[in-house]
Amino acid sequence: MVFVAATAASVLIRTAPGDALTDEGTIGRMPAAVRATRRVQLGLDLPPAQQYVRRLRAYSRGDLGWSTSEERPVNEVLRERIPRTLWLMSLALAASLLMGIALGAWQGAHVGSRGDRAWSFVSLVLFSFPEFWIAIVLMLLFASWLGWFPTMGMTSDIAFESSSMRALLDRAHHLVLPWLSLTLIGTAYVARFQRAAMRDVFGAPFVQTARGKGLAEAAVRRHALRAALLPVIALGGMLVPSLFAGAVFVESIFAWPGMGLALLNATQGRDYDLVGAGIIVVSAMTVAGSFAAELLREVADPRTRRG
Amino acid sequence: MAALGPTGRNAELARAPLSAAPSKRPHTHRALRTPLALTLLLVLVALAAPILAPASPIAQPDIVAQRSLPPSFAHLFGTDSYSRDVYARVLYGARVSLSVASLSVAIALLLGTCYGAIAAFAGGTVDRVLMRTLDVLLALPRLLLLLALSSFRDEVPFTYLVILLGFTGWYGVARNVRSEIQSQLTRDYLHAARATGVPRIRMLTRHILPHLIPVLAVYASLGVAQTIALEAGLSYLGFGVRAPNPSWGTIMHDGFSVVRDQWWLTVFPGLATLLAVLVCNWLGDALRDAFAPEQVPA
Repeated sequence: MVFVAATAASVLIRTAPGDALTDEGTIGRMPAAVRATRRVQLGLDLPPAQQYVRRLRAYSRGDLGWSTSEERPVNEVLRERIPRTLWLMSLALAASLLMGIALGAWQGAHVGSRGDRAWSFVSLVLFSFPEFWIAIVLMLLFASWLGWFPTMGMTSDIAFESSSMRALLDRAHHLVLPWLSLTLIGTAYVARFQRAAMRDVFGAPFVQTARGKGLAEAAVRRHALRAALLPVIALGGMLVPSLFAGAVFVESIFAWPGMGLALLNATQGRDYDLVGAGIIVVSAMTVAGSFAAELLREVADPRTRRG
Repeated sequence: MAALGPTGRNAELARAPLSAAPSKRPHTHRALRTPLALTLLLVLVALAAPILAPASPIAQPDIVAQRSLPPSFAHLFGTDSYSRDVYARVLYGARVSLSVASLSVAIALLLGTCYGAIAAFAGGTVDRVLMRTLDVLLALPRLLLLLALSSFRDEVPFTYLVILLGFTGWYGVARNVRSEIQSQLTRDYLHAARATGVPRIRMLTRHILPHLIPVLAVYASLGVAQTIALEAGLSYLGFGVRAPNPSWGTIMHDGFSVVRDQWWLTVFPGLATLLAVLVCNWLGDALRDAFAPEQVPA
C-alpha cells in the first residue's frame, strides 16, 4: 500500500509544471550553463517515463534522491529531521490518549451532569481550534507576553556549552509549547470519542447485568471502560495523519527544525524529491499507525483474536 | 463503524429507564436550535458584509498615516500595513472562507456519495477494488498533497482551491455512504422494492437517498468546519487564495512576520475562524445526536 501511495504521489508531483531549476529564485542566481549541467546531473532533461523508472530503481535501492532545497541527499535530511518530529508527535500522542481517555471516560460515566456539559463544551472549543492558531495564541501568551518559554527553535545557543543535564532541560523547555499545541487539540479529539463510546457501552446489556448482580459502581466502570476503549484504539491509529498535519503548522510557527518544516520549505522551493519522500514517509507512518492500532485491538479485544 | 451493543431509536428507548443517568434526549430537536441559529447568523454576516463593514476591505486610505494602527474606536480591529481596515477585511473574509469551505464540501459529498453508492451496489470484486483504492487514498497525507499541488501555481485561483479541497475530502464520505447503503440493502423494504422490480437507480434515489440524508447532513457540517480550518491554514502558510478579497487565512498570512508587534492581524481573523469552526462543529454534533445516533467519525 505504501508503494502504491508512493507511486501515485510521485506521478502526481511529476506532472507539475516546472522544476527546481525553473523556479524564479534559482534562475536569477544561476548562470545558464551551470543550470544546464545541473539539469543533466539531476536527470531532469530525460523524458518523464525514463525519469520515473530511474526514480523507482533508486527507491528500491533505498535512495530517496537529492534534495535541491538543502543541497544534500534526501536520506540525510530525513535521518536528521524525522526523529525530531517523531519526538514531538509521540509525546503529543501519548499525552492526548492518556488525558483524553481519562476525561472522556469520566464524562461518559456521568453523561448529562454539570461537569460533563462543561467539559463537553471545553473539548468542543479546543477541537475547533485550527492547529496553527492555537500555536500562535500559545506563543503570544506564554512566550512573547509572559516570557515563560522560548518562542522558537529546539535549543538555545548556550546549550552547546553547558552540561548534558542543562541541555536536556533546555530542550524540554523548547518542547513545551509545540507539544502543548498538539496535545490540547488531540486530547479534545480523543475525549469526544471516548465519551461517546463510554456512553454507548453504558447501555449495553452486560453493564446492566453487572449492576443487577450488585457490583460496585467502580467495578462496573472498569468493565465498561475496557469495552469502550476499542473504538478509541482505532482512533489512535487515525490520529497519526492529523497529528502530522498539526506538526507541519506547529513546526513552522515555532521554527522547530523537524520534518514538517523541511517539507514546507521543500514545497516552496519545488524540491520534488524531498516532497515525494515526505509523502512516502508520512503514508508509511499512517499505515504503521493503523497497523499498530489493529494489533492493540487484538490485545484488548479477545473476540478479534485469530486461532 | 461497528456499533457496540444495540443502537438506534429502539435501543435508545429500551435502555432509557435502566441506565444510571437518565438520558436527557427527549427534546433532541431543541438542542439543534442554538447551533442552527448561529450558523444562519454566520451566513447572514457574510452576506451582509457590505452593509456591516465600515470601509472597503481593499481600500488603502492613507498608507503613511494610517498603516498598522492598533485597534481603536475608529478601527475596531486595527489596520494592516497597507492601512486597510482589518474589521472590514474580516467581515469580507467570511465570504471567501465560508464559500470555499461549503463549495468544496459540496463537491466532496457528491463524489463520496457516488463512489460509495457504486461500491455498495456493485459489490464483489468492484467493491473490493474500490475499497482498496480508498485505503491507499486515505494513507496519502492530505495536507502535504494540498501544499504540493497548490505550490504548482504562483497564484491559487478560487475555483482551483475549491476543487483541490473537494477532491481530497471525500474519502470518509464514501466509506460511510457505502456502509450505510449496505446496511439498508438488507432491510425488508428494499427486499420488497427489489421483488417488485424497482430499477436500481430509482431504488437509490427514491428509497435509499432519504436514509442517507442524516449522515450526509452531519458530514456536511463537520466537513465545513474542518475545511474552514484547513483553508485558513493553507492560506496562512501562503498557499491559499491570493485575491484582493481576503480570506481569514490570508489576513493572518499578512501578519505572519509581525505577529508579535501587530497581533491584531492574527488574533481577530483567528477568532473569527475559531467561531465559525466551532459553530459548524456544534451543529454537526447536534445533528448527529438528533438524527444519527450511530457514530459518524469526523
